[in-house]
Amino acid sequence: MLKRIKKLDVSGVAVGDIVLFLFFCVAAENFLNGYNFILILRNSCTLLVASIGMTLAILVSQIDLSVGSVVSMSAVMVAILNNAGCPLILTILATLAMGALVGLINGILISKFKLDFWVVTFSTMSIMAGLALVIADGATVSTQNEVLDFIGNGKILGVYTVIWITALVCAIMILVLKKTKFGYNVYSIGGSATVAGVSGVKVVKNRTMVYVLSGIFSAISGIMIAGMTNSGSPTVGNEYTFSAMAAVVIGGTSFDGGKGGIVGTICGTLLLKILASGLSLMGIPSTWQKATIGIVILVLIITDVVSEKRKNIKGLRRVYQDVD
Amino acid sequence: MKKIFALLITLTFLVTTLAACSGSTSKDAANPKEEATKQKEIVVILKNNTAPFFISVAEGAKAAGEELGANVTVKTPVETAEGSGNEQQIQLAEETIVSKADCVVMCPVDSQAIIPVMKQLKDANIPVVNLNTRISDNTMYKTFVGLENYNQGYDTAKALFEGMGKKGKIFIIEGSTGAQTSIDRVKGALAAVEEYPDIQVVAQQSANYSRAEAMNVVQNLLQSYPDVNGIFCCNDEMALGSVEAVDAAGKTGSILISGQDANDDACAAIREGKIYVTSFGNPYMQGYTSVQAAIDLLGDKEVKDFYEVQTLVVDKKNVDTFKDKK
Amino acid sequence: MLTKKQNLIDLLSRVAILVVVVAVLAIIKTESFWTVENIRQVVFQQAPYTILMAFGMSLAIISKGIDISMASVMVLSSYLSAKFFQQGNYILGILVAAGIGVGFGISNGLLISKIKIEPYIATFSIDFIALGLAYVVCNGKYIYGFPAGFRSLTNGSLIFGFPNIALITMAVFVLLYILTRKTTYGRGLYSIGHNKEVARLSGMKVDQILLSVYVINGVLAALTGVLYLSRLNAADPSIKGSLTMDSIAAALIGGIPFGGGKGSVLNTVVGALIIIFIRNGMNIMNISTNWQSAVVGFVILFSILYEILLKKLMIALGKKKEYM
Repeated sequence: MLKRIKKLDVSGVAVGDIVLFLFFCVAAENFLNGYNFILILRNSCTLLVASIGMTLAILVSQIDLSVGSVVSMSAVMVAILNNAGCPLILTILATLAMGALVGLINGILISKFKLDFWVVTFSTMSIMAGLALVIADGATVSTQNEVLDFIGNGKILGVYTVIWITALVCAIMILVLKKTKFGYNVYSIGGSATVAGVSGVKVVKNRTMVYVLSGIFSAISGIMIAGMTNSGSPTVGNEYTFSAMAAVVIGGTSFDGGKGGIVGTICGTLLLKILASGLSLMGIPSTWQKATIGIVILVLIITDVVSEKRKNIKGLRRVYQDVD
Repeated sequence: MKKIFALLITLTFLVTTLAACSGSTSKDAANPKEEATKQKEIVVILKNNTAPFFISVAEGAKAAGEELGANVTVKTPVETAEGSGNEQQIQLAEETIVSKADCVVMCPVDSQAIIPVMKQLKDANIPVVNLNTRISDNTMYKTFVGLENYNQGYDTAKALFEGMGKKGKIFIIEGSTGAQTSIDRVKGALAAVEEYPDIQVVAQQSANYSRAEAMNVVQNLLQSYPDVNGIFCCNDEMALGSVEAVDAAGKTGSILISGQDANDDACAAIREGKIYVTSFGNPYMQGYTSVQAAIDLLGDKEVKDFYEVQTLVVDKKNVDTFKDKK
Repeated sequence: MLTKKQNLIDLLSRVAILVVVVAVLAIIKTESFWTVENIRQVVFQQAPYTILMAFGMSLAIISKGIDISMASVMVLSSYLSAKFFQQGNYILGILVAAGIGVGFGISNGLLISKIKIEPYIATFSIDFIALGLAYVVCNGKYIYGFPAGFRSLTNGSLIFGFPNIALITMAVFVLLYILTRKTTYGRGLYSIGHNKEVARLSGMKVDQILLSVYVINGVLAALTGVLYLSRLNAADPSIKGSLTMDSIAAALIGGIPFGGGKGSVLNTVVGALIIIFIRNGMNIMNISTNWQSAVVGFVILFSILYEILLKKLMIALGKKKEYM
């Protein structure tokens, strides 16, 4: 039984989640509380949705640094369009389109023109972050809309709307990655783009699709934030890029590509949020919290990697792996 | 196998949640007599605890808790990167509902974005004392403790202009983009500029409340406007950075610099004549008064709408004595 | 690996961008920008900090890694050594600062080379730990006022016309250039960037080289921290600023791709100068700070679109395969 658990990609971080969770139940007052769990879930939603895009990008052995900036831009766009009187459905569609467009630009520049993905996404990140600031004129834009507020703060059947949205997105993407051709292509490109290309996978199209999806997911995250805060802050996504990368990597998806998945990212995101909630409820001053979070992540990754080394699979894979 | 594992995790989660839910409702039925004699739980949520200003606020708040008999916890966001403090503050505020705080003192990073969670606190019947930076919706808090950043900016700017002989060119160095305190202080300064027709704002740039950035920005600005006479900075850190830039350009003494906060380093600079004026926001008193107001609120005592902590313009004349005026 | 000719063309193309940026600024704001004083100030006083940090980032990138912990290590080492410098105890100050830099560098290096953790997540955690510790140590007390002797580190001029900090930076640059381009060590670094396994198989001491890269980064971070003490006359945690992003941008604009194995510290200098000049120019033109991020992004984008042109040139010159 243990051997089979070890074979799971996400075993390390999932165990970490459970261990930390149990630890905080005991160590932190008020942690073991239904309302608190729901809060942790709710607070994970925006980062998780944004991280899904990042997961896809890392799976195809690339990266999307523009995630955070698209989140900020989306939040600002929603606020501004709503204030301008645009009907909400159009606002949301326009924002999603913006996210998709940024993704498309990323995808084309990277896959078709073969430009370095770090450079391209770094520049789109800078540009979008700057534009968000300019459009919002440097300040948070407040906005009022009942439906938007319901999206962010409302509940359907007793569960927060954002949790429904996130669960839906996750479920869809997990299925897509497992059952569809696109999902299969993503993993094979991640394993080795050259081999995938040779065996008929349209690498350019698929990689571009990954970036478009990433842009859309970041936009969804921004829309949720706009709903949750009834405003669009141009700096709200600043930490998202790096946190998303961390959540994805902690969750077991490796930068090499072709390995890992959304379940891992869910666990990774939950880990970060459980940590934050637990440390805060324990009353640890925030100056110590930062260092503690770093140490916990490190310990988790080390244990994960060390137990990975015992698997021989990685060594074999490397022989066939390409330098992309 | 993976599916079974995932299912197990979900089940554990659900079961624990249900158990906890039933657990917490039974807690509520606890002895009411116990509740009355228990110390009040006051949670103070600040912007950070790395800036000297907010460390003083925290000290004041905790001192008030000890002296007036309340359990004061200070919480701040961990992320200090611009913009992300807000999301964390929302989470900290939500946690006060979890931990059943009696009252929350809130100093928001983002005056707009904090409103929905303030609504949640309202619905949970947790009264809110707004500290230092106004929440944009005044139905969300019972009272505001602090100073008007607008006034602070206005008073300091006026003092600066007087020192400049009522005429000349100035830079305005803003704080972090989107920071409410910076926006208000700049508004105040610009209002003062209106009253002095011979004062001209030649440049307005942000240095993100950082000493290092201000030094670079001012150095650059001095290239365009070497004949500037005054620099209005939204906080002391940037004023100190400006001091270094002015020194490096060899213009010490011919350019008057103003800051905000009156922290120790700035006071030292005032004594040396490098900074002309700053203003004391009395962070300790802000923290203290906010907890005091919270306790009064909980004790059903009369509570004012606005506890104005007096700002004090600090210059060479009163730099050594201003702290005695508590 | 690229031939010398290709390296030269690539470098010159980046220099061309720098020249264009400077020229545009010089034309728009001749009296303020294009003066000896301003240029000297930017190049010799403001740029060195970004350049030093970018050196470290470049080394990490060339080895196909990344180091986002440098800025936090810089803050921590500056803070812990501040008291000693203030008391005039220079030797102890240097030892403490270097110790911190080396210590964290070794931690990074071991995590990455021996335990084989992804450089991103390893340095991400160390970054949290270093910054967390810095805030704990700092506790809001800024240390102000350093002796004139110490300040001459950045103010003073041993050689007429060149501030000491510029001399220090140039010395570091020469050292790193020789180390990376003229020694076996350097060749090992580049081959690791190309393909770690092949490098290992051909006898390179891969683990040791990787370890040393991060140790060098730690030392560079500590050096920058000490220099900041001297420039600002204070120990100030806000020096972290946007240095991490700027050093990544500098490496990218300078032409060091994240694929590893290409680029040199020369590229870094050019890239860093481009960024600093952009910021300087925008301050001088009194353009709202909100635009700065967007402009930097556009310049990066431009520089890579420019690279497309270059690639077409390369194909024309018949050297397509090696360039990839």
